[in-house]
Amino acid sequence: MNSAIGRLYPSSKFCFVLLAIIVSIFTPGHWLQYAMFPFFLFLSFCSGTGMKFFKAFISSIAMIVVVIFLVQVFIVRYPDSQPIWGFIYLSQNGLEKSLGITSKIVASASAIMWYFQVTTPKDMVYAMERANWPKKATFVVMSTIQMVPQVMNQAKTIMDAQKSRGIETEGGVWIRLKTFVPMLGPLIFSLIQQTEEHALALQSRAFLSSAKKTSLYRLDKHAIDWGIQVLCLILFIAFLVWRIF
Amino acid sequence: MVAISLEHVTYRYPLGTGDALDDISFHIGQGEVYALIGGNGSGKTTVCNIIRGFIPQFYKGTLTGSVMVNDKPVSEYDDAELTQIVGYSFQNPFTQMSGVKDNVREEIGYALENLGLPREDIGRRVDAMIELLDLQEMADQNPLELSGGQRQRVAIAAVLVTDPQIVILDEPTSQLDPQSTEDIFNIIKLLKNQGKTIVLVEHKIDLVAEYCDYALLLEEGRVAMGGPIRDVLTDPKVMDHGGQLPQVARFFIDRNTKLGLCDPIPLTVQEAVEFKTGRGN
Amino acid sequence: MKRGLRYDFSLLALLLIPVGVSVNVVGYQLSSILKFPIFIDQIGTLFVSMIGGPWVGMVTGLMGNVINGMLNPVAFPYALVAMATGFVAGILSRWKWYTNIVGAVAACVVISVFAAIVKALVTLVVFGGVTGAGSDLITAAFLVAGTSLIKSVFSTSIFTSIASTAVDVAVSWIILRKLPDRFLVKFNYGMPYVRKSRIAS
Repeated sequence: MNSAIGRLYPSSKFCFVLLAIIVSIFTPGHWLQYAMFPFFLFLSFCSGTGMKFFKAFISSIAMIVVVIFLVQVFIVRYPDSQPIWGFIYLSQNGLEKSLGITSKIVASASAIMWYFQVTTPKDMVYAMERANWPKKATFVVMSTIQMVPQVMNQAKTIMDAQKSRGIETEGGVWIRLKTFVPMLGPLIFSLIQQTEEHALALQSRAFLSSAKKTSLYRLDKHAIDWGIQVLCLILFIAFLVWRIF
Repeated sequence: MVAISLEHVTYRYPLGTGDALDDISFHIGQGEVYALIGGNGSGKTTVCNIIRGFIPQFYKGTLTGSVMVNDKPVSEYDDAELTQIVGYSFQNPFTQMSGVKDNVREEIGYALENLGLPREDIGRRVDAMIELLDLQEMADQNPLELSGGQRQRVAIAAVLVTDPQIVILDEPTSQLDPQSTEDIFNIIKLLKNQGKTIVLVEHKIDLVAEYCDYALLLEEGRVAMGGPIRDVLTDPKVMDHGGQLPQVARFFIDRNTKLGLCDPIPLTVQEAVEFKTGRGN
Repeated sequence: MKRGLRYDFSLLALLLIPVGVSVNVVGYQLSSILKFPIFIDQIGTLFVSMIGGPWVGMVTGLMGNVINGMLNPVAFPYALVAMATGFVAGILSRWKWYTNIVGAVAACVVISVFAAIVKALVTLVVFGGVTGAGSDLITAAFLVAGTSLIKSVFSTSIFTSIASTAVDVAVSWIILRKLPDRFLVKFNYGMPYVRKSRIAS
């Protein structure tokens, strides 16, 4: 995230991603949409997250795309479905439908994945604060992002402890089902207990103050950020004009 | 001037079967260091929560009697205003981090951010706190990855940064090694010199004897003893009410009953040394 | 009692949201460690809805999927399912359905139905019916048997939803009933679950 792109103001990247998604959804055809994948892959390499992007895409989106094609083309019955063998049919309609669906998924997922890989949560939340989001909202976003990995560590400790005390993790479904309560119960109790003290600690840190929150952390909007945002707006208007008239 | 005053305060937690506090009255003058002592469950933390207004605002339950801070009932303050007057550092260091900051500098500055101070002021005051509590080497670390003792010091810095007139410290040293404990007491001394009022819950009675002006001994929600630190901590009755005596005082009391030697009874090592050299002369 | 948004989003309720999301994640991990055929990933959402009400529950569902969506964007559209789950579960808590086992079982059915409908709609509208998950096999089986796409997706959705919601509700309900009273009294929707014997005394 220390690349030139990583250091852009979050809203600039967000405007761009939003534009890419809107254009992908409302442009007919599918080639432009599919082209979004190599485009964002290229952007990712420029941002220094190329391999990360590629791996994440292959492991989550590629599989869905393949499954959608298989099911739509060979299994779902359309008026033009031709039987091939057993329950396998072949359909041109299904192929067209798959192209339409998967191209939009590929485009949107590429844009969103890229955005979150090149923007730190901290920058995102800072931008939200500056854009006058309610303090409670930005707090929830940031504390959730920070808390999940902490709790996962805590949970591992509890699970190991419970296992060593002989709680069954093998056996029939019912036995395994019953392990949920002793595994999660202690975790939830301790989290709820911490919630109380945490609330008071936050109150002691003026969380309930109605003043507009300021920030010690600093992230500036540069000329290039204004440039990108204005450009996105112009492109959006141009797209609207093209699609409506 | 009286900073804090409680008159006939009785409190019962919601669903509680008995009173957590029963007819507590005391007042704390401005600039005093006031120790709350007593066994576990004697009501020390409950008293702190009442002064800060968390009782009844957060804990609910039934509170009677009058609680005043700077001659104004606590219930009449709005919360942000009270935050700036009364700083409160809690016992458990693990729940005191904001949970939204990834470095100690910003963690300490969080209260000032919430109060809407300009960035430059926050930076300056945070740096002063880092200096005061000697946190330089952890300033860029994630607060959630610090040890309990380190977090406790960060938490104290995060409370002092708003420069409150009254500071409540609930067992600030329970997670600290002897050296850091000594450091915290030196900060207490410094705060006292700045004219701040300090309410301290603390078990390390030798340090209480050395640094505090007054002590209130609680037992099962009642005031068992109270008064100037020397009067309370040289009285053997403290032991009957679940309290402890400083080692030095206990030593001299034991000798006194046998020999009837000294008055006043020395309270700290320093005084004991002076007593001994004084007698030698 | 006044029940506005501001009332629901007390500071304490706000802090429940990250707790709920974390529990969702841990529950999901646990269900894969225990090799369950279904995803048990809404225990936190359910639990938070029970003591925090519909709006806090809905935001918990949303946040869980936003966190997942940062890694895998497929989770974003399914945020609607988690939000519906949290919202409905919270409404039922407002109606005090979780005070006894009959209500809890009925809640299970109601939540499943709502979650299933939203899930089927998202699967159909956004993904055209399949998402590469294990449950696609059930959908495919329906299709092969000659059922229409829409019916197949809805049926699959109902099946998987009932199974996973049953576990989610059961686990969170058992934990709710074990929660000490002193915690329950501080939450806006916790009062009905305080043990009656204790109130009387």
